Amino acid sequence: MAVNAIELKNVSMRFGKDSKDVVKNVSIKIPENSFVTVLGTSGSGKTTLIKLINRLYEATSGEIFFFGKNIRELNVENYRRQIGYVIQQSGLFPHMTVEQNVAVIPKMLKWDEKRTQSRVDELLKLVRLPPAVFKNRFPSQLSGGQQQRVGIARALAANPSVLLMDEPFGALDAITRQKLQAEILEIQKRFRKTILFVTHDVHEAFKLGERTVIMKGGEIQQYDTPYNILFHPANEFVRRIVSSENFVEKLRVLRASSIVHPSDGIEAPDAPSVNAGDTLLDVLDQFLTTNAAAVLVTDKQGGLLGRITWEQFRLIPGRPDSEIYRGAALRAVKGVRQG
Amino acid sequence: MFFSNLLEYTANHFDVLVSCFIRHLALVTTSLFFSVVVAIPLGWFLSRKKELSIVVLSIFSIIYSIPSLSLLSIFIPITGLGFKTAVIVLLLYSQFILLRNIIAGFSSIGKNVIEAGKGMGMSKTQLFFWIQLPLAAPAILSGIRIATVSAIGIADIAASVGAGGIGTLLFQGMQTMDYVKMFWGTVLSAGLAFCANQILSDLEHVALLKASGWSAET
Repeated sequence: MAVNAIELKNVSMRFGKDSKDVVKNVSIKIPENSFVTVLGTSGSGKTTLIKLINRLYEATSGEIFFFGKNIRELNVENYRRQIGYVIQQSGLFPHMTVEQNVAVIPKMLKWDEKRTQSRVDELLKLVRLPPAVFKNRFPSQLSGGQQQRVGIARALAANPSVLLMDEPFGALDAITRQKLQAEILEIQKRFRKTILFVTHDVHEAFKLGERTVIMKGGEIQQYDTPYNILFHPANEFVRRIVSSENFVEKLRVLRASSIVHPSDGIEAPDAPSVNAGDTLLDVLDQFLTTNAAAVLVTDKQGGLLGRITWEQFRLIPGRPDSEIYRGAALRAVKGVRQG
Repeated sequence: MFFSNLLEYTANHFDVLVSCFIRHLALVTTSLFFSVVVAIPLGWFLSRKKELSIVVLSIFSIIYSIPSLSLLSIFIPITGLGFKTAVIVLLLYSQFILLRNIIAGFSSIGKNVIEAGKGMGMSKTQLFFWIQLPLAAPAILSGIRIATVSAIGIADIAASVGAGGIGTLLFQGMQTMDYVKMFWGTVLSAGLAFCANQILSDLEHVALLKASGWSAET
């Protein structure tokens, strides 16, 4: 059974005594190792939701659990050190070098110099900032994208199992944002992190999230896979949010892994293939440019995950729900095998 | 005439000049030391309480507007003549300047920086010493610089309540029309103020570079 990294039970939050609830009776489960995005306009309570989880705000009512433990019963500082926190505009400490910024949590945990040093180098390499070049720079000497990379490295320092990311790429240009999106997906898969990622960008929410929470006025409108949200919106509000996306746009944000079917083992030797993380638009591209009846879906290492047939593709809009989950289920099985 | 007097007085009373100078320095540093010790925690606290900070600042601004001779006189019945009265008065005067700068310094720190620190699990003490104090340091030092320069000036007046210091030379000089004493009083207190201002503004510059990352140098 899947363990829930985070669980909220009937959580509400208001700031003043007489003001409205900013978060209203939210119940939600974030399974371990999943990537969940929270999508909403400003004022929807999505940032408040994140801050309730790391206790920058305390819930007015309801309970929050971290791997089954009520977070109110944990020492708040120790608890926060187990959660990586990445925010917009990086929140880097301007008076500290890149190295010092990344070493803050190790310093709090009183790691020795050598261990801290090697961890900093390892993390900077992970976020593609060569340590020799960047270690001694100050945040003001970095571009927005580089700052955000340092922010991610800093959050990962003590190897937290959960990352909370509050619009981390909101202020970046489109190209940098796409690069960082790809990298955070890779980090999540490689290190099996649980990530809760807040964004106001529909595209980003669906591209990154295995599941997406849609919020409005402090309430959850829908918590589902991007596929279901796009093709089976729960209400008018969700419909409006996603209706701006035309069919091609929808294909652009859905990943191949979301509709992959198990292979029957007999595949044409020249069948085109895509990566599990590629979009359905890439799959469509393969169909249109080759003569193939099926497109194979492979994982990063080239291992076969399954295939997508042209028939499947044509049926997307009206497909029964049971079919949709096959892809997700397969992914889960595959994930366990890899781990 | 003046120069020969000056040479003669300086040669014969060099020890007086030195002791006046040291006394003045002691007066200023003692009062500022206590003033800063009070103002940093108070300013940190007030930076998070907007309404209260307005009230407290208004009170100190009223005190700041009282002419120094009057404020010194007010304390004579309570603390008597001498060093102690002068220190208390200087402390009260510098509170306004210090608090105003310290509150501004702590309030100017980006909210996301503080939340990043908290969210990472920093304790209140770590947050204060690792983040808030270094980032507020330029504003705090700027406050200390202005307060020091103004305290050096007010301390001249404090000689009138028997606190000693360079003011003694000035008052004696004016009463006896002794230009030599007036000269030394002016040169010493102005020189002290000038040097203090220079040293502290250098420190402030260093703190500013540190707080914003070294690239601010350009």
